[in-house]
Amino acid sequence: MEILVCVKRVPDTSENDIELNGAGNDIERDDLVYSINEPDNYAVEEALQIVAKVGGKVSVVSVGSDEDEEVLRREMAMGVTHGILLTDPHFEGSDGRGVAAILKACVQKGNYDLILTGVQAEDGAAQVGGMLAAMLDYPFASLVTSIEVLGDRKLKIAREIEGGNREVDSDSHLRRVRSRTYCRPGRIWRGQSHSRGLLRSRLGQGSPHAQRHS
Amino acid sequence: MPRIFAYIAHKNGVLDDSAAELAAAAKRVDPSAAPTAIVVGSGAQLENSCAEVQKVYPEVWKVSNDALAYPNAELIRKALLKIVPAGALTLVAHDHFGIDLAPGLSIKLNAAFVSDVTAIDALDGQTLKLVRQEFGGVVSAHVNCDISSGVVMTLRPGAFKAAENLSAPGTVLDKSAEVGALSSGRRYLETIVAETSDVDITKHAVLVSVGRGIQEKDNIGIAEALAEALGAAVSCSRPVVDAKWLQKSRQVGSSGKTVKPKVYLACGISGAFQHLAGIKGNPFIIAINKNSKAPIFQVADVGVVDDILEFLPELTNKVQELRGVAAK
Repeated sequence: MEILVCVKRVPDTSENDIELNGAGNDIERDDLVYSINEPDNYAVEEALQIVAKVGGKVSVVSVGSDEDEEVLRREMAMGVTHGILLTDPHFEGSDGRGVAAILKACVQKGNYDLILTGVQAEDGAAQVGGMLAAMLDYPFASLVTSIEVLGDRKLKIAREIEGGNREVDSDSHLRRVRSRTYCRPGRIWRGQSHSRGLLRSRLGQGSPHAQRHS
Repeated sequence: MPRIFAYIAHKNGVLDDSAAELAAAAKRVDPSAAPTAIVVGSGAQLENSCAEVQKVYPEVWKVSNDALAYPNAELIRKALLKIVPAGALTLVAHDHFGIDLAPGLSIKLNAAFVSDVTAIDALDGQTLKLVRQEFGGVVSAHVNCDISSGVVMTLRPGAFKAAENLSAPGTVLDKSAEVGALSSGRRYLETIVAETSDVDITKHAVLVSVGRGIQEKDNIGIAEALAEALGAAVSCSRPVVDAKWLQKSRQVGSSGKTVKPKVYLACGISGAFQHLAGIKGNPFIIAINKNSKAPIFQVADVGVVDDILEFLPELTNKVQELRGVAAK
């Protein structure tokens, strides 16, 4: 099974004091500690557990700049096979829809059975996953807490709903899931004899709806 | 003026609180608007829900379909695409269902999307001015949204005060035929109810609640000692459950339990809205957190800026002293 996990490098809210900048149009970004968005990390962990059971490989992708490479390499050290960094000046200032459009182009270059994202970014809106699925016309589920791969291209998933209850659904294989797993990332270090290549991709076109919210 | 639609969440014939809140939000966008409620489902429960919705919305669109007996966002999105016109403003509550439905809906409607809106400032021509929070509620952002091709918005539950009932009930239109048959790859199987444990935090008048600030599983004992001195129970926020330091049954919040204590001690809890959403009944809130900017201080009656690992043991000693119990 080929799984793609979309990850984002974000300011670490537990390590930083978040303040407004002088102009009042963003947070003060100097001296912030960045790390991988925690829910995305859970999604990578979930993906690795799935391929450990059913075989296949996991790739991670991030839309960003050179600084995002460290996040991708860290996930690759956990056992991810391919890291993809999508970077282009035209991508800057993209909103959620813009990022989803960029990721869509990346997905279409590959052959993925399952795409995972973390439920929400610390600085985000819980939107890119749902948007990406709609753009691709893939089935989608959010707030997923567990994924079980059944035979004949089906998945059984549990979603978190109100009151701590869980809804269990079955879904056909080719799908997009937003994963929010409860498991804390275990220390799974797969033996790496050499570091895998990092694929840098310049997709060329600007994003269609790039419009920075202030 | 664009048409305003509100997706109504309901269960077993009872409306979610968000139904009246969305109506109030619609009025904030346009005070003269006559918003349309969309209610989907099947059977008697749907009829009961429509009867309730009529009290708050002048127009109600009903979609009855057996496939919608359980709210499946994939199916509902397809249904909405058949009836919601281009350029509309569509309001949805920001809850586990809204998160599932709304982003994809905005793409299919080719509309703008804004999530977790906490305030609507004004509609200025084709620009809707809104407020949403970022970074766990530490900052609020003013957002200008171009609604010339419509917008799908999810609204934070509880952020908008429920609208009053109308003087005369609204009309219900049956849109089931327009929607037609529905199918999707996703099929609902069952609901698993959250596990219960020996302690039911919803039954306690005083709660000592811990968050990330407790730092380690071994430190939970500090909270337990205080709870024992106070005759309280220990509850927690989500990160503590994710880290497996306490059971899920102890979690207060929108994805955990809803509690109505008289006194709530929020210890090392930042105060993210998902957590606060689980606290009802306006208890006396004492917040202890070493970050003076933590959002919890906005809702606390008493705030203490300190490290809980130092403060709680001192508080426990004081309580024991006042109760005439020998300090341990």
